[in-house]
Amino acid sequence: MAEELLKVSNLHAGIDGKEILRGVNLTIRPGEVHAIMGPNGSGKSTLSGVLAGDPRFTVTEGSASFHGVDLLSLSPEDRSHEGLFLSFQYPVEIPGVTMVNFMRAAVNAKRKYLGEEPMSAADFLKMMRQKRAVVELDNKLASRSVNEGFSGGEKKRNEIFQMAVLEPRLSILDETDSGLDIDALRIVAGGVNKLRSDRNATIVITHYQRLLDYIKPDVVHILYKGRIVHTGGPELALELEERGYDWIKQEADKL
Amino acid sequence: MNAAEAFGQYLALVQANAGILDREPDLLANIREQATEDAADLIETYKADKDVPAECRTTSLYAPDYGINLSHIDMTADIAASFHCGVPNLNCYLAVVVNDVVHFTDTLGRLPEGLEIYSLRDVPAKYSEESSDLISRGFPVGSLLLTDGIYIRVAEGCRVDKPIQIVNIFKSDTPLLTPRRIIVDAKPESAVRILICDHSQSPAMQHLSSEAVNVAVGRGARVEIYDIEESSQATHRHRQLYAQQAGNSELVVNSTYLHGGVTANEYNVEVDGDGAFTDLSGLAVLSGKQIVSNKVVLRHKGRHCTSRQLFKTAVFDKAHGAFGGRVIVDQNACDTDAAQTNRNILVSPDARMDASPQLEIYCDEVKASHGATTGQLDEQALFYMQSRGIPRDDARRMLTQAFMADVIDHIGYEVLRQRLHVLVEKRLNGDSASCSACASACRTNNNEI
Repeated sequence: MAEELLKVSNLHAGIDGKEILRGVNLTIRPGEVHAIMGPNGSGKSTLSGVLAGDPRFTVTEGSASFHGVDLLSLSPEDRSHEGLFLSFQYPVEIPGVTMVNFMRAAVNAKRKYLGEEPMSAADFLKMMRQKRAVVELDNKLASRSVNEGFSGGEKKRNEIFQMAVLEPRLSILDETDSGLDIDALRIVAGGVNKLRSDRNATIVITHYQRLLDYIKPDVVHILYKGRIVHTGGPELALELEERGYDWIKQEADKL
Repeated sequence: MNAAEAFGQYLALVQANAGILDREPDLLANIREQATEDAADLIETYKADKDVPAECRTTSLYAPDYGINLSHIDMTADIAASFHCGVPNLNCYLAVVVNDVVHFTDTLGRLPEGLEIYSLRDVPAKYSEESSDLISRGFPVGSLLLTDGIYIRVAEGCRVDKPIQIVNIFKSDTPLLTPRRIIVDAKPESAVRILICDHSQSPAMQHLSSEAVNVAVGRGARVEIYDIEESSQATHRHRQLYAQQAGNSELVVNSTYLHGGVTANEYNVEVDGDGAFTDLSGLAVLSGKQIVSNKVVLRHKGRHCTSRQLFKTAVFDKAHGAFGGRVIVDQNACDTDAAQTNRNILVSPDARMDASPQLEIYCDEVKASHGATTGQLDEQALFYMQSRGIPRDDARRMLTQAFMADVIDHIGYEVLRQRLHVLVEKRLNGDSASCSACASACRTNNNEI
């Protein structure tokens, strides 16, 4: 069996003293796509936020090992440098910071972390051009402020574009399908699939089966009340689509 | 220290040196005579300005026993001669003021018709009489000690082809108070653009720059005054801008604070004529223990006038910023459209900002708005940037720069606008903490900095 890329053990975390994650266990290996599904309020976005280092959340117990590195001890920027990427459910608008400056700062910070020289302007622009093509992102967005005035679809495509630039080892897509029409969904999912390899892995957090028609998961987990209560293959997502979450809730609440 | 001690020491100094001062040109002697009375009144009637930080009050600024160059001794001509500005493509008429001594460079040798520039020591009598009110205006202690200054006259219809740059340089082995004055008399339908830069070549030496910039904007004229302060922690500055605007005139003022110690900027604008436009803006990046106060008093007297104010401050460390904006719309100033915006961010928990916007409206038919906000950098934006690998400090700098961008972007003087973006970025990166690293460095041959 391949090495473990991410191993989350007994993870407890919360916000403002309220516990949301109550002992999450999750193991992900290179090349795998894991879907995490669950009803509203089950802790899906908390899990992605905690793994990415969102300071709003406090970890109270447990661990997360990322290719052998203690993930939870790293700053958000170092988690990124180590190869973690979070595609935000609600990408943040940053007025006054252009996409070009934003990406150049990100790329060069990672190169600095890895002990490499900053990228030349020509190489950088060439790379931006190539990566934009992955999600058919319009050139004109590059000179605009980060996410400012972007449509819902453009914001999500912009997330995947950043993912393409940063070439993460583990990508967490938090509700990437929310707010997308079917064409945008196809482009975004197509972008994710193009970036898949047997060396990286993806966590797809979603409410609906729909996205999983485009990004085929190897494993499906159901998160409920801060725990993974059910794990299965792709067929689990289809079953959820058909039967809803109630049977999962009943099953879990019995325990 | 009370007013009698702070201001009285300079009054006594002038009285003790009456012999030297008797030989001064009439214009300066007249200013001093008037200022002597005003200073005595000031001591009697002084009331601390509650709106500004204690350090920025005149009793604090003028309290130290600074030396004064009353004999107008000029030992610094070589500094002026060797100055060249680091702002690229800045083709301008350049005057250099070393401490309080004015030097005109070769660029002022051939001025276009209609533009005249003089030292206050040799303004022709016909002009000094015509502009006497404008020339004599200023904080009494500054007027009392004044031995030089710059007088700019732009004749009716003259649109000056190049900017006029005035570079204030401080260099001294002893603590010094430098009275400085710039007079701009822009006649009807004229246009002129002025850039004032403050630097220090003795960054550890205590210095107070007491500067009055007095501007008359004639009917239909347009005057732009820009200033960049990039001095040192030991530099204190009391800058008073006074402007009066005639009908259909335009006044643009922008002030950028990059480095200094304690700075008190005052902007007094009286809009007398109808249909005038006033645009006041400023930005300040404060760190360490720097203190900057921007205080605006804008009075609308004419009708159908428009005024815009945009002031922004980013406060790091234990620095302290203040903004006081007072807009007065007189009874007859109908159809005034006045907007004032003040936005500040506190980047550290110990940073401090005082904001007091005030509107006084005595006329019913006006449009007036004011807004002041003081907040912190957007935590969600910081996390978003960090999650992309941008270190938190870099993310803070980028957000701070973005916060300032609109103040710079609305500057119509393109060369300066581009330069300011670079200067602010360098400032936030900590690259220009001293004069020697400053992008607009005044280079000298044996600079010990």
